[in-house]
Amino acid sequence: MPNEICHLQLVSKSYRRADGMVAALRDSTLTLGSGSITALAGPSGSGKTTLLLIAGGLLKPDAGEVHWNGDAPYRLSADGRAMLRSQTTGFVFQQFHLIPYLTVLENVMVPGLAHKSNGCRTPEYAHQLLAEVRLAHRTHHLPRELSTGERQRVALARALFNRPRLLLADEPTANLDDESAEHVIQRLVTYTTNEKGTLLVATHDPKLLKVADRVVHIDAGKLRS
Amino acid sequence: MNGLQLVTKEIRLRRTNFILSTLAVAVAVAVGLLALWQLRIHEHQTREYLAGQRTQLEEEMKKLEDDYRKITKELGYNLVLLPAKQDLAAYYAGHAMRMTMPQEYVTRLANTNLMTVQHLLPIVEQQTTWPEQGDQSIVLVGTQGEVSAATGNQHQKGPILPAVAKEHLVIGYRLAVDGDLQPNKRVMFRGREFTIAKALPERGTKEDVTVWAALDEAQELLGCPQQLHAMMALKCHCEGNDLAAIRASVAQVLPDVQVLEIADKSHARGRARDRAHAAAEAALAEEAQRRADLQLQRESLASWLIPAVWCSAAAIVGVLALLNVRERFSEIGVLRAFGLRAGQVLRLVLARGLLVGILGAGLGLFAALGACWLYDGAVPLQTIAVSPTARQEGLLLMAAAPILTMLVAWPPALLATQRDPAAVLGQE
Ligand SMILES: Nc1ncnc2c1ncn2[C@@H]1O[C@H](COP(=O)(O)OP(=O)(O)O)[C@@H](O)[C@H]1O
Ligand SMILES: [Mg+2]
Repeated sequence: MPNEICHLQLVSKSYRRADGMVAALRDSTLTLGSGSITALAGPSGSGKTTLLLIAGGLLKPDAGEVHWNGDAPYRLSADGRAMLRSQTTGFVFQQFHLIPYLTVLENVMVPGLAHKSNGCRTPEYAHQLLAEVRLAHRTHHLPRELSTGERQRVALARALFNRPRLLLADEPTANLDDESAEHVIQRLVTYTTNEKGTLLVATHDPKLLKVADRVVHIDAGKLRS
Repeated sequence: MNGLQLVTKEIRLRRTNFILSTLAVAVAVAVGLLALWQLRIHEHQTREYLAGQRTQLEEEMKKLEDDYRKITKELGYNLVLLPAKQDLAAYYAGHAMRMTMPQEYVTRLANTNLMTVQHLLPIVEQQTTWPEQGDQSIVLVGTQGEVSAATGNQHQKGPILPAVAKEHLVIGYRLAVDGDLQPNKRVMFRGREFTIAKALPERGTKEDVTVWAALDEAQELLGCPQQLHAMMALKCHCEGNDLAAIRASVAQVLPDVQVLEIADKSHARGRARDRAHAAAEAALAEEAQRRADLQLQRESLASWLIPAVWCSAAAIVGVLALLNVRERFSEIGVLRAFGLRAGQVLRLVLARGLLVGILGAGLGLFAALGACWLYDGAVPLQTIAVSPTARQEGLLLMAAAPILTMLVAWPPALLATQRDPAAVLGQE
């Protein structure tokens, strides 16, 4: 595929648990083209989150290769990989993981901490992102003062703050009311169309599946296109 | 937003943990400072006290010295004057005195202006025999009693030895016993008749075999009229009142006479003064020793108290730091996910430890100063302020606190950086 941003080659991952090893992902190969939306659909426990973490350079697979536009994150040291992540990827976690003592605005700007110079990562840009997810009125609130939908949107704004080429979103519309979900989906589409970003999103949400360029099904750790 | 803001905001959210850690450090610093400072204060007080005692002692000694001088002055010097040629070894051994000087010396000395003499006793003294008592060996002493000194001698007192009356004898104990001689008995002595005036009680000295007679009769008996073997000058005073001056004065009037001083009460007083001085010195040394022992005791107390308190504080701060890091796994995972390097995360945790240390040290210092103030106002604070050791120890503890809190924050910080972010971020 031309302009491939992320390529997973025969990736496998097992977790060690009390009752033995659990294979969360098996020999999965996946390529994400530039500017595309790939939806990852599958039942709970099928391995969606595991795949996202591996693709995002956060979880080293037991086997297989991951490439980002020519870079191989798992061949780097932990710090080298962290730096590459800060230049390449953005995450929307299923549990948001906002930092509880930072305001909405500060949470959005957290990815800037990894960089020595601000560049485009200005407070103005953070304000802009918050306006885009309709949270301009919440900038100085703490996460605990927000609804679930609002937190999810803060998480999205934060994921976009570094202007990543690859965005990984884990069920970003789960637990959201229709209106919030609509805002989130809109912003994700804008990200791929206007900003030429690449999105890999785990979801069962039909509205989100509808805007995807491609839907990849996953079941018991195995991918089916 | 920078790292420091991240740290301070985190602290504001999780105050309890931070406050407890800071208090633990503050207590350790305060206890450490107070334990060390009380040593310095005690040291200082000891120095002051001993210095005060020493000054007092010296003042008292000066006063004693003064009294001694006054007493000496009052008593004057008691002298024995001998002919210059008299062999001193023979004199001290109690042998017969062969050399004589003219009796006229007595009046010369009495009339001198250079010095005052309260009592003058001209003496002849010779070892001889008492033929009428079976040639018993005796010492014959002739005394005139006192010769009145020159004018201006107001405080003149009675003679020390009452003069022996003419044709009378005073005899020593042994002679009285051996010759069965009692007072009023008439007795022949070297061809002349005398009456016994007095028989002295036993003394165990030369006096037990001594016969005292009137000076001129003794001179005749010994064949040395108008001659003296010795002269006692009692309570001699002169300008400046020192022995050298008195000797010089005597030499001026009586050139061929040697002057000996008779040790007496004033010497005893001098010795008493020396003894008092030695006793006071000993008491002072004992007090110094007692205080040094106390200081040692306090030092040994501090030497285990400070490490014990600091170890406890370190344990508390370490456990609290660990709890804090465990609470922060999720946010640390997020920071790592968004590209913060391990070193940056480490610094965030250590910075928190550093703040605990700095704030705790400041609070501890404040508490220690406050405790000192409550205990005794400004006095101990001034002592601390002027003691370089106390200041250095204070600085050392203040510097040690943040270093210690950073050290105990290190293992939790490492744990934070090594924890796999995916483990917490993947949770549903
Ligand atoms: N950290 C983990 N330790 C052990 N087992 C895990 C861990 N994360 C996920 N699993 C297991 O791996 C499988 C896939 O999980 P996950 O990737 O979270 O699936 P999904 O996101 O589709 O629900 C599940 O059986 C899950 O229980
Ligand atoms: Mg999941």
